[in-house]
Formats: sequence, structure tokens, C-alpha cells
Amino acid sequence: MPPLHPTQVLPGCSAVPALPTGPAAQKRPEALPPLSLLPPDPAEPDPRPRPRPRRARRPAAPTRPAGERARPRAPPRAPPRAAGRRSRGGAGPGCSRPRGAASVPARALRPPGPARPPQRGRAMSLVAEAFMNQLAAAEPWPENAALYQQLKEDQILLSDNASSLAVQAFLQMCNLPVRVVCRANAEYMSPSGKVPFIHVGNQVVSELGPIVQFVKAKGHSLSDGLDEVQKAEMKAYMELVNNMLLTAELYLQWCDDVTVEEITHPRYGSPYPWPLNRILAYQKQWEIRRKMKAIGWAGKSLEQVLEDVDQCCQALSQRLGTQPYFFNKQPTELDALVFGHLFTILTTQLTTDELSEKVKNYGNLTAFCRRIEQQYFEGHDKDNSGTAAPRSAKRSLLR
Amino acid sequence: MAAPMELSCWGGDWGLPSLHPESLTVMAYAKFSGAPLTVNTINNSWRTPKGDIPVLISEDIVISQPAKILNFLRKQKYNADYELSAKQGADTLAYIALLEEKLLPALLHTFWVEAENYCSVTKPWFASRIPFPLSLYLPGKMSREALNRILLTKGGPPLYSLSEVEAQIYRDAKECLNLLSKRLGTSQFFFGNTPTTLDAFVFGFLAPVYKVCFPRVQLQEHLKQLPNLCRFCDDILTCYFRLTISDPALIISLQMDDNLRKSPQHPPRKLTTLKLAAGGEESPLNRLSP
Repeated sequence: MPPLHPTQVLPGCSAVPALPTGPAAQKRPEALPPLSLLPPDPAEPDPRPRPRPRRARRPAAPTRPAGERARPRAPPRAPPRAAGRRSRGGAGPGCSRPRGAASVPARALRPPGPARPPQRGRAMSLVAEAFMNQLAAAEPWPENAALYQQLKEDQILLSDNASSLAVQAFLQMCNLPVRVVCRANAEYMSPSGKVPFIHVGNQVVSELGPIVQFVKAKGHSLSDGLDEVQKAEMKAYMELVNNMLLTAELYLQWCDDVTVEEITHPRYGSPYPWPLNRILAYQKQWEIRRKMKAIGWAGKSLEQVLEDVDQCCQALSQRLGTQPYFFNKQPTELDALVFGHLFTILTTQLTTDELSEKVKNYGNLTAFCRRIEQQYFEGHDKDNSGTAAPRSAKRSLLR
Repeated sequence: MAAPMELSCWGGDWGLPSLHPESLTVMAYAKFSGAPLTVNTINNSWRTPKGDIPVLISEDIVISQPAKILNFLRKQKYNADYELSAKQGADTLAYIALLEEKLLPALLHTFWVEAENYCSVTKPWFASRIPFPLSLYLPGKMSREALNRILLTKGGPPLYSLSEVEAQIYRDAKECLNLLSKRLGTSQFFFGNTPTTLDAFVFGFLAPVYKVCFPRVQLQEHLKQLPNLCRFCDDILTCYFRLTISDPALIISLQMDDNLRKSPQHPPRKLTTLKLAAGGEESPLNRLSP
């Protein structure tokens, strides 16, 4: 899971280059290194999520031969250009930001700066994460929290829809209000490049894992009642869903030629004019295919992928058994994740129905999806279309 | 089944039958299920397969990935999961996914990407087992593939440099080890008293981390703080593999045994034969005397 990273500092911080000495700093746990080790704060970035052309700048996997690793060399974080408009006194060009707390991550295209020892990088990200948790704990959940995803009717793809629905289900289960905002460039606005992301108060957090941690820092948690062994099981099953179901969805969308041509390419680039739509679609396809090749899925045929999906569904079905939720009495983030993926698979129309047939074979999984939908999403049918409305997804989502 | 099965895999060192996690998984499963496999370790000859290792060859069938090899063995009725319930089978899949997602990147990093480890241990070891021209190329290729895999799966934004990715993957790996330790608890294997597929996978991933001596060993140090996982690996090694013991205390005790054998309390055999000869000589003398 990528670490949390704030886009904002505490509003109470004064324009001092040193670390904030406000209340958040004093709540810092003792195990952390002294404050003076941390770099000065970044400037306060724009709270509105603004579109950033992340796609074009995403660096290719830096393949350095192993021998060169002896010289630890990290792409530096020059202060963001946007922050120059309202830079504080201390955020000069010489400062760098906490490694793990990249609000506006400077790209690797900047000229290489001074070498940093790797241990400092590790200590930084741990400290920055603790700092993030302090920030998160400082404020309660606001009323205007927003969840950003791609355009529902035209653009969003199977895997992104599944992830988004999982986060929506999780927030519903925690009783936290959130409104769903659809933007064409949601993927670029996201801090990690993946949808969905939530914009809560001053912070932007993406992907289910970090969102669960963020919500936990605010004091809401679904898995507190589990003992250690059950928590281990829950994490293992979440990894199973990510490893098998999500990867199979990505494979089907981007590596199966028929689906790619008929569904994915037209949908992915639909908000953009020609030739941008084709370029973006091809770029994403190459990226996904490289990842598939690295993890060994490139050599699989569609039948093998469907078999893997079947195996995964069988495991989930056997684990669920006759219980209402995976950990009997209360839903947890695992239930949200499984619901997101299975519901999307069941209600999305692709070129063939094989994927949804695999899920329909297991009656308790379909009953599970229906139960969660009725319990957590029914009441929002009357709301405007901005809210999560899986019912509308019952119409064919893709085409 | 009567068809002979041959497994080609990387050899072992430091007390392990193999250094490669996937090969070790397959070998452990074969031992647990009682499958008669002849194991050919890759040595310096040109005839060994160079594709995906490990490779199972049975008559004309060639199977290359561990999951497929295990499926094949199960079809041949060598099933170590026979007594598991359906839920335990599902748990097996889930924990294997956890291992692959959380532990494998750190394992690959320790072996292939960390510069000191790679240059001083991994590369010479693998290069010594690959015939000459390939030994200059293959270890580098394996290292690049490992780095590629780590960066593509874990290295998305906002982690832009390798050191941040390292921090993240080692944190994930330590969390995974903690979860495995909690799941194992005090029982001997993960599902009771007989080893299963999950035990094979966990052993395959943990044993290289545990036993191989690297210069940079943060994962090994963390693992050594979890005594039940260490005990788990040692148990499997001694019960199922019966290899040379790498525990220094035991080596010292074996050496002490040797020393005791040479001590005067246990006279060497030559003296006893001389005594018999002396006895033999005396008896005719005794016979001569009346």
C-alpha cells in the first residue's frame, strides 16, 4: 500500500521554516526522532484538486544495474511550482519535503540533487506517516467529503469501478457521508495515480488501503473487534482479492484483444479529442502489459485467467459459507472490497458473459452482494445522481 | 503412479536443499506428499534447462511453474491437502496471495537488488552453477527482472525513488512476517500436525531469508525475532530434509564426539588385535608347559 501523504499542512502552522510546533507536533509520540531532523514544511498547496498532467510525466521504471546501487541517488524534491505563488517564508528552493509526504511530488525529471542516505529516506517516511496520522486525527469527518472517480457513463472501466465501489461501500459501512464526484481526469488528480481518491478536509487519500488507515486515524474502524488471527486472515483475503480478482480484471480489460478494441479503448479516451484519446489509451495499455509481464500473467490465456477467477471465487465462497458477512456479525473492509469487485463483475456487460457466469456459480456470493446493496445503498436511490448508485449500474455499465 | 518424475531446480547451500524459493516450495511439497521425485540440481553442464526453474519432467510432459507443478502432483494422487476442510483450502489460497504480494518483493530485493548482497553472495553463487558464457549474463538478467518486478508492482507514485520503495516493501514484509507468526501460533504446522501446501509455500519463502548469510540482513534479523517461524523452518529441515546441520552448537558437539572417540578411554582397534595375537602366542606357550 503506498503511504499516506498530505497535500496540506496544518492550517494552524505559522510561516516558519522549521517543523510546525503547533498542537499536532506536541502530540507526537516519543519514539520519533527529534523534530530538527525533519525538513521544513512544504508550502500550502491549493485545496482544490487541480488537474495535473501526471500521465505524461510518469517516469519509466528506472532500471539501474544493480552495481550502481552503491551510490544512493534519489530524485530530489524541488519545491512545486504551484506553491511558488503562495510560498511561505521558509520554503525556499533549498528545502526538501518529507520523503513519504509528497504533496505535489516533484518528478524525477528534475536535475539530480545531493545524494541522500537511504536510511534517512526510511526514517522520513515512517515519521511522515506518523505525522499524517496526527493530522488526520486532528479533525472530525467533515460534511463535504468528496470521492472522485472517472465519468460513470462513458469512461470508467471495470477495475476502476470495482475499486471505487469498494471504497463507497466501506464509507457507507462506517456511516461516513461522502458524495461522489465524477471527473474525466480523476486518475491524474489522484496522488497515487489510481482511482478512487477521497478529498477530506485538507487531505487527499487514494486507494482502499490508505483510506482505511486514514479513517482509522479519525477514529472509525470496522475491524477493531477482530482478534489477531482474524486480522491476519482478513489481510490475507484482501490480498487474495487484489492479487487474483483485480489482476484478472486488468488482464481482461487490457490484454484481451477483443475487449481492448471494442470496449476499453473507446471508453478510456472518450473525454478527449483525437489523437489524445488513442495516445492515452495505448500508453496505459503498454504500462499494464508491462506489469502483467513482470508478474508472469502475460503468458496466460483467457481460459487460465477465468480459471483463476473461478478458484478465487470458490475460496471466497467457502470462506463466506452461510454467514452474512465474512467475519460473522459485522461487515469489515474485506466485505466492502469483495462487494465492490463482485458487484461490478456481475453488473457489467462485456463482450462475453463468462466472467459474470463464474461469479454466478456461487449462490452465496450473489446473495451477499444483494444483501449489502440493499442494506447500504438502497436509501440513496432518491438522492441525486452524484451519490453512489449501484442500481444505475444494473443497466449495462459498459455499452 | 509409476511414471518417473524428475525435477530440475537450483541447488542449495547454507543447510538448505535449494536457494530458490520456488524450487524449495516444490521440493518441500514433494516431501510432504510423498511424491517420488528425483531432484537434479542445476550444475555446470549445458544440458540443464534454462527456462523457468523449477521444471518438472515426467515422461513427455514438461511443467514449469510451481502452481502448475503442484496441480500435476495432486492429479497424480500425491495430495498433501487431503485432510483440509474447504475453509482451510480457501485460507491456503489467501495466505499464498499474501506471501506473494507482501513478502516476495522484499525477498527479491534482498537477493537480487541490494547491491552488497547481490555482488558478494548471490551473483557468485549462481554464476558458479551456470556454464561459462551464460554465467556472465544470466545473473544480471535475473537481477534486472527482479528490480523490474519490484518497481512495476510497488513503485508507482508517490514513491519515486528506489529507497522509498525499499522502505515500503520491507515494512510490508515485516508486517507479513508478523501476521504469519500470529497465524502459526504455537502449533507445529499451519493446519494442525501434518504439513500442507501452505506449509510448503511458507517454508519456501522463509527458509532462504532465514538461512542464507548476507551482508545486509534486516529481514533476517526481524525473522529471528519470531521464534515460532524459526522453529517451523528448522523442524521441516530436520524432519523432511535431514541435511547437514548448520547450527553451530550442534557442530561443536559433533566435533566433541570425534575428539572423545580419539581419547584413551576408547582404544583404537589395533591394540585389541595385538592383544588377541599376544593371547594366541601365549596359549601355545601355555600348552608347551605342562
